Amino acid sequence: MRTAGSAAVVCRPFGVSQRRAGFSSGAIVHPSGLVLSDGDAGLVWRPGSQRSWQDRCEIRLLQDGRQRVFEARVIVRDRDVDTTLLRIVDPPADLPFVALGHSHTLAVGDYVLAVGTAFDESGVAPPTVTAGVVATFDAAAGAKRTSQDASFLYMTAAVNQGVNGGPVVDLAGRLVGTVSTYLDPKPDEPHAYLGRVVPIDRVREVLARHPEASAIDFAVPGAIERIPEAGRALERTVRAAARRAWPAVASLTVQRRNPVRSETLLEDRIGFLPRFNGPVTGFLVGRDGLVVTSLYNVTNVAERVRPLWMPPDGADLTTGLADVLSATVHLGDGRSLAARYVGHDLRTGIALFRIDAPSSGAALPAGIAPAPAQAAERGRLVVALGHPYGPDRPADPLLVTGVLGKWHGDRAGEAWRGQWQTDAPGLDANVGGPALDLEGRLLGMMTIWHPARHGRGSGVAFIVPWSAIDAAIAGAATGNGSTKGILGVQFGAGRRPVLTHILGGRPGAAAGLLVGDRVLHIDDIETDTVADARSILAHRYAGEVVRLGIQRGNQRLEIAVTLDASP
Amino acid sequence: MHALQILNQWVPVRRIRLHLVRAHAARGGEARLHLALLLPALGLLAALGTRSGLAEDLQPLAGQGGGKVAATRSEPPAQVERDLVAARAVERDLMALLARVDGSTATVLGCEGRRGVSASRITGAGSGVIVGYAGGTHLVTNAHVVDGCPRIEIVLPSGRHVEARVRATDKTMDLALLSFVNEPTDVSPFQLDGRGIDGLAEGTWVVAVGNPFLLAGDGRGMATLGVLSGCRAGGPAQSLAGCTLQHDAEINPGSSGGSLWSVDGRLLAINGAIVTRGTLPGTGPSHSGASFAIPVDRLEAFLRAVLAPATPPMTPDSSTTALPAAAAGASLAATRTTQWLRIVAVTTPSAEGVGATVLALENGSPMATGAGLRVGDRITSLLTGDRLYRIKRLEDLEWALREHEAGASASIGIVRAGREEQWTGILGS
Repeated sequence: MRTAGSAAVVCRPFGVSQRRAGFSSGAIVHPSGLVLSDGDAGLVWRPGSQRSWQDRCEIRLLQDGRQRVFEARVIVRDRDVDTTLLRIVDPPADLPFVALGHSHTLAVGDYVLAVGTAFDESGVAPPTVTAGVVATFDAAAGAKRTSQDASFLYMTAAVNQGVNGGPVVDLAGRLVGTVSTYLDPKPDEPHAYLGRVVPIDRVREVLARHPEASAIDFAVPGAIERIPEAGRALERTVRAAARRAWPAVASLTVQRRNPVRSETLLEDRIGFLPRFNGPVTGFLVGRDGLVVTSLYNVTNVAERVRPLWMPPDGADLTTGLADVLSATVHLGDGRSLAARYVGHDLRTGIALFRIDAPSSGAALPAGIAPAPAQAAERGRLVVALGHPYGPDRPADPLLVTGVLGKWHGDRAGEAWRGQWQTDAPGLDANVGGPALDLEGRLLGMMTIWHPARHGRGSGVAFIVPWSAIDAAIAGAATGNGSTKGILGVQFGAGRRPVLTHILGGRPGAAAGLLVGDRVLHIDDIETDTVADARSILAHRYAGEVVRLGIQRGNQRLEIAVTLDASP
Repeated sequence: MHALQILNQWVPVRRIRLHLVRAHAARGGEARLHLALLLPALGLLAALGTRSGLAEDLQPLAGQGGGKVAATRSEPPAQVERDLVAARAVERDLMALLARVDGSTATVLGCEGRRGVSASRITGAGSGVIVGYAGGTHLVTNAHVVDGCPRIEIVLPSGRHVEARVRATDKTMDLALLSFVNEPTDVSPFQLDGRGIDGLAEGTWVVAVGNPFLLAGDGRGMATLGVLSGCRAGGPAQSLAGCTLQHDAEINPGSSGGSLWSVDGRLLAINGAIVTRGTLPGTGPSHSGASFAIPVDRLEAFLRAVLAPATPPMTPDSSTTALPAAAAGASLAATRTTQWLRIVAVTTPSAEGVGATVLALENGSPMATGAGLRVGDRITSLLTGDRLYRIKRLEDLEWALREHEAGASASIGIVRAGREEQWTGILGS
């Protein structure tokens, strides 16, 4: 059976030492010995970091455990489209190949496999595969973006070092693109953490303009693989779910005095986390024009990256809120509406905007139908939607998928208490947006809590359940969202959490805590150190009851305290 | 057939071939195996910068796809219903898998004072897998998680905290075996059955379970879904024998020692490392596309060497393909070297002298011919070509043999019963 992996190859400049040779993956796309790779095939590093490209390349193919090396010549090279077509000189008769498909029939949510040789500059290792879905596409040229933009597609399949130029195949096993690059986060890059792919139809256009390549017929009889129908059904289901929710998904252009920034402190170095400064994602909830998004989208994250076993800092999640002036909400029906910031809630991490009453025209879209409580179970699949394009592309979602991987219940002392953890990538482009079940019903809001420590798109993202958001909205919309809970005690300078000061008139005093009490646990979570105790209390909110396990002399007590708001 | 397995038939790219390796171990007690490198998580430079813009306008993507979800023609309701049923079947498989394996996953809290963090790795805490082997219940994790901790605190999937002791570690393969002080009954250990993973296809769906960043305090793991990427023998896993599994299910610091499962509930591997893209200033390491795991074949070899060294390897049941004969008997000290000597050896306990003590000889070992090596011999030197290597520890022997080809003749200096002897043989292949 012809398969993509058997046809994956390594392209290197011919006769160049390993130290100076660039490295690309590629694929044999025709039994006559045609090889498709990226624009850097044949790259040679010259002194002074200069680069040149050689037209004579060597192609390394791993077949039946042994490596075969062929000489190949570049027929077409287009570095703007990041494509090179080569022809093997004297090809043997038994070359494996992967058939070319078409990319114009791809849609978001389609499964793709990226194949290439990762992490191995000598090209000896076998190729590896990663899997994901098509997340989004570049806008067509002319749609309010500069002519410098190419039409690429973006996928969630991981792109590792060395895989550039390798084939991207669909469920039918056909080559629908070549891996271009991995995108780092930048202020103007909405597709950070996704893999960029050159669609095969772009490659076909380039080849059609070239005299020698235009004569090649890439269709090979009998090359179509059997398509697993379950896979196609899953693709269609994911898209149907996105379609159902899309009218309520909003792209917000937030007007601020200063742009959002994220600052991190790692040991003694301060870093600024590169972030996308463009439109952020939110969703309508069908209530008087309210739009929910994540505090991450509107506040300045200040994070101290501490050793793993130390709980994260209870960083102030409201820094920079005062910079928010207003927002423009862009909807899927093409409308752009003015909105005001109205409030936030610390426990759920939401920020609320309210659309000013439209003077005329259609009613606002209804909120996304909520999923019933029993729909959220560990192992369920989720679809997360983002809309980082503002008014330019009202119909184009950025779609990623994942699983509900873990429920963090009350034993979690941190910001994610009462939330789902998911491996759907949490990106600047989709945080604050809806997380849906397979029927397109709302499970909750996508968010991330510690982007510097946990990374983005790294498998550590969270879904704040809709039920918690629902309960918090009324208070948040009137400026009465949950605030930090105050116990009214001070811990000593030692390692153990021992109370050294009890503030009069605050909840700790009212509940009967005494100086010298040692806190053994809070809500059954052991507190060995002061940092443990502080990090738990940082995520308890005004009005909540916490149970403190106390050691007083020889006695062990349990004292319940209702936390206050700060004055 | 599981719904997720149906997806597995999609573009099977290659079959993964493993070299079955077995760690060596001193018998009984708490064994420390001083082998070569710990398994690091690597930081690689971001090699693929963003490409420059294009010189010319391009035609827009045509066709009814193109990402325009709102504009695509919706499928008829009956089709939508059928699709949903199929998609829900995939979910149910995943949920059933997690329900089965939850009882086998644990959090390892390490020991106080030993927790450390290097550029990209956390020692002292992570995840673990509860396995059944040779009639007992044991906990397995990475060696780098328990490094330096004789006693470990474990959080069981029930949330209960218990104590375990390090029984043996294999630093080359980055595995550690822990025994519970009191064998717990509120767990569901995964019974190792010798099936291994030889023959699994790349692109096969896998589920990783662990405790990334130690976010969970309740002992229950976080599940992530991905595919098997391939088998790495070179590159980042150069110091390891045979194959390290690469997959793309997200794991992070804290997931070390956690489990990798197939969709039908087989334990495939123990997660060990990730590649972290050149870290942004001020950030910690996190998953960026490649996860590495130690195949269960190696885990079983390690357990066999520690717990039941006299027994032959388990054979899979008759419904699966038999392991290749060479792999079934192969026993490797570490890396390629063991293929040539085919011995099981361990760094000699210091009280007994300096060198590497032979524990066993495999069938076909070139050192078994003639007068050969015997169990109990202590190797102190190796002479190949014109180079003499002093062997103080097993790693010295490994490194010495790495540089030589099969077919070379080697002279090995040993101490047997207090007398120095020299034996000569040919390094086999």
